[in-house]
Amino acid sequence: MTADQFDEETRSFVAEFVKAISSENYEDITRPEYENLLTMVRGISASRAEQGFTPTETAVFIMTFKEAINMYLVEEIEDPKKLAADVLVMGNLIDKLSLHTFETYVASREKMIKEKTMALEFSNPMIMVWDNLIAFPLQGILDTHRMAKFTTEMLDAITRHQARVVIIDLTAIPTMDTATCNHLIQAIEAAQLMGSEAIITGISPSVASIIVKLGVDLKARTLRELREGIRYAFRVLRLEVAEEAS
Amino acid sequence: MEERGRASILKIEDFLLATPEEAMHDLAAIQFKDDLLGRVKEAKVNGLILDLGRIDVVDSFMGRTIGEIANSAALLGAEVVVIGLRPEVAITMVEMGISLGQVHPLLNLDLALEFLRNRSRGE
Repeated sequence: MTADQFDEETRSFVAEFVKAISSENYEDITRPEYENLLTMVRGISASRAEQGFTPTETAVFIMTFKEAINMYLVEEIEDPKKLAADVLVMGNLIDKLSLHTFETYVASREKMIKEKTMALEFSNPMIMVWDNLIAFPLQGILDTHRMAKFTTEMLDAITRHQARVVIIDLTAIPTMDTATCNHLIQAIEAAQLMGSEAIITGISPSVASIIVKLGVDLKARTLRELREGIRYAFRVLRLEVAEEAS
Repeated sequence: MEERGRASILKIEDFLLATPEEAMHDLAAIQFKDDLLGRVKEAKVNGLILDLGRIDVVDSFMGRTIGEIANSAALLGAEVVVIGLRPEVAITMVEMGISLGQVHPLLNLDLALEFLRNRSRGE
């Protein structure tokens, strides 16, 4: 965030703050005169959350105003009793606003997390390559949770499409941990129990060495790339791809 | 009372098609195995198709019994294929480490018939 942006934020905050307190309501921030100010505070808080600021940094931004206001009050008010009372009132008001940033911060973080989980939920596309042949190009970081979800999706797809061959393409999987790898092997075995042949394509060197380290028999044909997997599947399905005679 | 799992056993072409109606407990599974092997011997079939599509649980005993059916049927000259295993059953079996022995799993009846026809023709 640039100094200009920061300046701009501070300026508009002060402007809205002055507008709000000119109503002479210094306590109840749920009233309509505070609506614009709160909207602004929420905006600041949400954008800070997205930029990766900590909740403390966000709250501190509001709290620094307390000091500025106090300095102003000390200059303006001479009667010590009235000064003390006003400092207290302003202090409480700023505290309420900074607590509000906290709430918004948490809310916007939660929204971000939810969106990320949603992205996970929908990330196992299935490709119907041919009759009785389906393919799953897996992507990104696989954990056991995603792998378990993939397993049920794959097995359901096998039943639904009566897939005799299922290709699991790992081209876009840079690496996976051993627990996930174990899950993958279970998924392959389950597919075979149902009478479908599973083929793995596009294994990365890192995944290959994890499988070797696990010391398990993969029980599935592994081929270098998706293309070879499809060619092999066609052979299993007794399909022939031929160039048209011209 | 006799413990007997309900199952239908039909003859189709040169093969038997056995469909257990529900998950079986141990005694019923043994009874089912004995009945089935008797029918295999009697009907002089070349193949046996086990349709597990209605079974929602396969425990280790049931798994072993299916393996035994396959091995015994092989001695009687019939090859065994299993069809219609449900996804949730398959994943549970793998997680629990239950194997079906030398049984050939296939997706559906069409494929099972094709497979057994080819086998009995010696391919």
